[in-house]
Amino acid sequence: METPRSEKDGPPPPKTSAMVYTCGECHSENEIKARDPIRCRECGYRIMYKKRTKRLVVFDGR
Amino acid sequence: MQDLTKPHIDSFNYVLKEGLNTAVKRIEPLEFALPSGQRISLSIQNASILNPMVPQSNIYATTLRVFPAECRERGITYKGKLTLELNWSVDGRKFGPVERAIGDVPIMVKSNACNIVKMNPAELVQHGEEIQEMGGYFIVNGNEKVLRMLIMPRRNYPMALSRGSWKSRGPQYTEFGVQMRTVADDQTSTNLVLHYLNDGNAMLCFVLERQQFFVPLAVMLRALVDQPDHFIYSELVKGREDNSYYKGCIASMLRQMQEEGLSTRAKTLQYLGKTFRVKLGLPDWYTDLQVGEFLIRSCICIHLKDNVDKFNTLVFMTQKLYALTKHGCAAESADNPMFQEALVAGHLYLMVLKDRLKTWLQSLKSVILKKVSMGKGVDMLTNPTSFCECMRMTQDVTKAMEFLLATGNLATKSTLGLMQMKGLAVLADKLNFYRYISHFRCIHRGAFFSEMRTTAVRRLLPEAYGFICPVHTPDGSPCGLLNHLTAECQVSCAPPSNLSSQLPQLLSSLGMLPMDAPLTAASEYYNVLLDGKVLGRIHQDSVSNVADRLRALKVTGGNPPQVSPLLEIGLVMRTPQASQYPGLFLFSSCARFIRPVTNLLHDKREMVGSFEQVYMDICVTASEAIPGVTTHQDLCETSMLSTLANFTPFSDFNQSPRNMYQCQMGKQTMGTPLHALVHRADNKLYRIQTPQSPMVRPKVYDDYDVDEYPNGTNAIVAVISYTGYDMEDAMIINKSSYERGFAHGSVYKSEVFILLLQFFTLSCHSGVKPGDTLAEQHLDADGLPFIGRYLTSGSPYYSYINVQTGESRVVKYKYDEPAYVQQIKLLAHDLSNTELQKVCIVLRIRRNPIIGDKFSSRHGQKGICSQKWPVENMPFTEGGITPDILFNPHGFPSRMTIGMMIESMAGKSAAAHGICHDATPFTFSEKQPAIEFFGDMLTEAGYNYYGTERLYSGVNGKLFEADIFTGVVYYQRLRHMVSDKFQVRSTGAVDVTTHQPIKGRKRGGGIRFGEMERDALIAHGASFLLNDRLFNCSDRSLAHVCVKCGSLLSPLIQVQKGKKYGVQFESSQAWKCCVCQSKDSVKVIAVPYVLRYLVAELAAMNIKTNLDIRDSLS
Amino acid sequence: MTTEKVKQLKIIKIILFPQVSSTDYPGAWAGYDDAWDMQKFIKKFFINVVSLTDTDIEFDMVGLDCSLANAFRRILLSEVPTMAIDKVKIYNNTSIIQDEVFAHRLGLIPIKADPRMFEYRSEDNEEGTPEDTLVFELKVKCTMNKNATEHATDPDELFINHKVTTRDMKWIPKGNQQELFKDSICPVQDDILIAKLRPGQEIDIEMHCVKGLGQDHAKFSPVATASYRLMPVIELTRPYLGEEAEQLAACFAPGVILVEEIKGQKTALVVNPRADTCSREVMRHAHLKDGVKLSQERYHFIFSVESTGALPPEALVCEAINVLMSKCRLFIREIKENQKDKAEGQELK
Repeated sequence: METPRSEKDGPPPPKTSAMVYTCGECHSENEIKARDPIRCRECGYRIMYKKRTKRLVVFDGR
Repeated sequence: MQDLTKPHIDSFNYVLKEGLNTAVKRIEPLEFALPSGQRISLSIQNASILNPMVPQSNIYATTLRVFPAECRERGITYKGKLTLELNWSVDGRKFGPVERAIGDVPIMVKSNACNIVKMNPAELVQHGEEIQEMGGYFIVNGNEKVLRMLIMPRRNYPMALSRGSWKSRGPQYTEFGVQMRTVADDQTSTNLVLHYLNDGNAMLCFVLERQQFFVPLAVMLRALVDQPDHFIYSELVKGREDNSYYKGCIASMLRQMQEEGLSTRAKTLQYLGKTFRVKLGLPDWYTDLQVGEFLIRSCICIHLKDNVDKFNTLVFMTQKLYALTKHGCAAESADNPMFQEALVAGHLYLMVLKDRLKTWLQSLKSVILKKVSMGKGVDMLTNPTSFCECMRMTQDVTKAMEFLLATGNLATKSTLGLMQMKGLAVLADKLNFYRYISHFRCIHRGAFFSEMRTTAVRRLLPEAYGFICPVHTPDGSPCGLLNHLTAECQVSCAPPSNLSSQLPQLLSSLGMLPMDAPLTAASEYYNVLLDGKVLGRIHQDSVSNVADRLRALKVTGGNPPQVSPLLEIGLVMRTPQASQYPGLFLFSSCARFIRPVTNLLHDKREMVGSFEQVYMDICVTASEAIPGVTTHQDLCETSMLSTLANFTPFSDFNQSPRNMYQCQMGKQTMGTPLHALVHRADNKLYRIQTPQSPMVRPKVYDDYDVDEYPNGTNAIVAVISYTGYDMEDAMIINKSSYERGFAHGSVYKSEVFILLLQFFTLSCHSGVKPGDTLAEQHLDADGLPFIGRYLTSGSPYYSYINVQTGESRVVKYKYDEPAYVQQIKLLAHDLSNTELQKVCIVLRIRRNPIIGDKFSSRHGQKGICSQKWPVENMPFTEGGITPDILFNPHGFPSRMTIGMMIESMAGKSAAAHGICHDATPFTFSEKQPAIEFFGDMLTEAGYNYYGTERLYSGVNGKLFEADIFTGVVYYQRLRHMVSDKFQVRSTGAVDVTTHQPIKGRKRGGGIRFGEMERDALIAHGASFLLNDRLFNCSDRSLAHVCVKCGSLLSPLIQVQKGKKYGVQFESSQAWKCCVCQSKDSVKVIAVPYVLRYLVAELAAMNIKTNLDIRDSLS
Repeated sequence: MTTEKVKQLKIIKIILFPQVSSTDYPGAWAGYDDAWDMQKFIKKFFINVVSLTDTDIEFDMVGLDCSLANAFRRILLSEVPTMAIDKVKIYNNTSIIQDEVFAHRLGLIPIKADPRMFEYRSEDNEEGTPEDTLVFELKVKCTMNKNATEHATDPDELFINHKVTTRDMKWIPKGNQQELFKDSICPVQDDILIAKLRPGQEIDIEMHCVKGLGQDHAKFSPVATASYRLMPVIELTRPYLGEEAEQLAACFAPGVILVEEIKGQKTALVVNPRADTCSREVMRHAHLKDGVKLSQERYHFIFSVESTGALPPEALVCEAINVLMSKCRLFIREIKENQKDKAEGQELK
């Protein structure tokens, strides 16, 4: 997995917090920042799934 | 199960293996001259289609192979490179071949060019496919498309027809003709019609570039063989020596030709060449003779290569034609499955591809001409590199092929011998398993016939038995036109193998005389035709022996096999009364309907075609066999049913239309469409949460492993009229059952957002602007909602930032129905080097049954859920069971779905004994009734023999007077749900011109209150309601009218000096009739707004409208 | 009215003229006072418990009208409160089962908690108090089993935590709940499969149990089923002997008819009509049906109650009676108040 780009690599795009995505082919986790090219760093696959994060959703049990 | 899509996959494999090469070899070299006079000839030597790959320039991918799942998810086309080997010559100097890819063509999934063809189930799942992926479709822009099978006239069989419309083709033309659809080895077809004229003449009609041409038969025969006229005459009259009228006709035809001066073959060819030169567009240096030969090669009997064979075939057609006109044989019918075959996906694909390659050659020609005119020398053409440069600039074939599959429309110059140019491809929507498989089994008669007034084409003919399902056809406009193949019916897909080339030899050894052999009594001989080629003649005494011998060889095989197991042997014997034209017709070609039956003589399975079946003695069950007559037996009674019709339990007990309805409703059921949900991006997918395996099911259900994709739930059904909410066709669901999960379901909706498309430049990226609190609360930093988020109308959906301005835009969720975010997919470019521009968001919508949702049993008994009845109010049985569904008994008497009653009993006994029952139709009989069988089983379990139960009312606790028929029935939930249909409106958008409410559910419009509804209100005298509906709630408006002159148009606002226009609008004081020049006569009245529009329109046509206005009080 | 006639009245004639409406009100019969009377009722009413297990009870209720019996049945189904999971807070769920389906599944799990110890949660109360809410937690993460043998295919061996069952639900006591209930709060069964996971998938859920009624949602219903049937009555009007006796016995559920050797002849005797399933099989046999009279006793209800496990079945029946009693009290109070109002109104006049 690619290490997160450090600050000195250039002016960071607004809001640099990288999101984690799962590769659709090899299922490895990738951190992709805004404006990064979309591809799996491991296998170069072209579809990434957004990973579910811990967020509260309330449901009625019915 | 894999056999279901076999016709599709086999035909596409044929294209890959040999079809494409045959087709490119059949493309005539494109010859043209440069302005400088050099003659250029372009020809394609070879073509091949490669497996789907991403471009080589993608440096990141570990594998270049592309799999279907990726195409579906990314919304792209599953396509492979089409490479050509091109030869060219300049002034006879040959160059090449150069190999070059000229575009991508869609590839059929699971064909030999597909990347998943050899995969085992585990690998398939790994690549995002179903365990039992069947293939047979294309993926275009992410959608699964099927090239639908079409019914075509049987190839290379001269059909005697009588068609009224032919009379109008010209003077002397009659309704009689012999038509033959000739198909070349590359599946290109043209129609050939031999017309009979009243003067005894015969005209040959052929099609050239969408235009029909008529050539006298004698001319065409003359142009085919280099023999004296006497030879032509004797060949034509062979076997008809005693028919003086016929002989006279032939003689007169030949005489007429002589008079025209066409005495030799060469002269005739020259004549034809001269006439057709303009139309054919061949280069100038072709002689008339060459043009004539070209015409014959490309238009006349193209299924044959040898001119003598063409001659013989035309002679056969002539003899058949004259037999038809003089009642020597009966007319045949194009609507008869006997004379039909299928146009399968691969063949259509090949036809279109060949056509595209022809256009591509033309475009190469224009590129070369353009380059030359721009000053490039001819050296360009002698150098392969620069020639390749020309090829690079040519037209792309990718778009054209994608267009065919994406729209189903043909955009070609020629008709390709098809009757329709539209609706060739359909979307294989995965609503459920039933619907999905029936896409591959359906066969359409052609869009042309759907507009025909007569019902003859829709008729189900006995000849269709075993090939086309009598049950599985929709009702309504496509009834009888959109048919389905039976479960066992196949489409022969072996193009003539080397076996058919041995066939003439074999036949000769069996006693066939070749065409040129001298005959003593020609009328005693039968013609032998193989795929439209006259092979020879067999004497009438031995012909049936020969046919039997052939069949024996076909069935037993032998080592090495002498006869193809798919050969169709249609022996049409002479009969005392005129019937079908006799002969021994052999077919070995592809695209024929064939089905397996048991050959009783050899006790082996034999594939039988629809032509030969008519002349065979096939029994359905062994008891029907007549000794000495019956030779074949059906595999089972249900072999006449399609796959889907086979799934209906006890269909033999139902009234027949109910089985048809079930075939339709089975296809609308919300079920389990697929399992690879993660890898799909279908627009809408329906699924049920609690599917069950039916306890009563036919055997085929297990054969096809439908338990993998179950479609419904076993429900306890009481047939009772209980509440008033369960009137006919409505049913009541137990509220408790519903609350415990009965028929729960969800809809998955995929939406794709492309930022590039919205701005055409790479100026936006998704993301949330820092500080935008509303967006930050609902969306992640990437501008997308988090997984699992609950979206209601108006909540932030996604957001993106414009790079130039730094502005962000938050897009709101716009649907009324709340949804959950199921999945978010970031979709990259082929080269995977761009940032996020395309996102697919999968939403999940809860669709649990509510009042108004549609359900059905498997017997065409659909109903609307009219109430969810609380469990304490439901009736209960002795054992304390409350039914899940209350079904109204009035549904039975008129519909006569006895199958459902038996299913109810069978289901109950199955549940009581813990087994599954076989519900295959035709297993029970009068001697062994189903009722008795299941009744005994019920008795054994302590239930009533007739399936009834003692029920107590849930409301007052009393025992019902009558025992209630209660059992277990498998229920399907149909996809028609009120949530998608309800339409309410109080106020809303109105039409601009009329100010009346707009229509359309999507736009918040109303439902039309039309003439019939108006009549009903008038009949009731409900005038206030009428006024309310048609006036107040529609386009009521206040208008100024002049009482004096009665005009709606003349009152105008008087503009006073110094005052602004808008201020005055309020007061009526300023209104003044500009005709009467009076202010007092202007009054305000309420009129429909359309009236004002009408008056204005009429005024524009110089028609004055006067309103007679009186005060209602006076 | 003769006693014979009275006896007939109490039996529903199934085949000819079913007479099911009750007639225990004054003047229903000329010359016979059938009006309901407390003393008479007490004299003839009795309850007999036939069988009782942890979850099931079967008892006879004799001597009351079907409207009353039905009221108990209806109340058992829909108006005896229980505790059930109602609010599901999903923090994470990466399993393949969808959130709302998961929540629905959780809701249907029977919870072993005495509803009498809790209050109803008020509408505006979002978070709940220890008096009205039980909190459960479900935190499961599936992982690969590193100790699995190389060629293992059994998911039980390959994965850890791949089956989420009710055992994984952990009760989180709030307030004084710990002292009050000790460790008694848990799902009724601990082996209900809720979801299946595969390595990497995770569930993190908090559940709130509240008190509710079955009429609101089936998950609050305390019974799997509660129903009654009327006691079957089988009369033989002629002797069935020999072969016929065997045939007759076969027409009924086992044990209903006993074939005994009486005077050297096989004779059919009705011994246990209770076991009859009312299939009326005998009516299909022309030679047998003439001497059999099938009917049911009108005031004899065979109740069967299956509890989901929160409360023992006998407690449920008592609760149901309590509910009916409180309803009656409420009704009586209403009537009295109404009468009082009326009286006051007249006084005012």
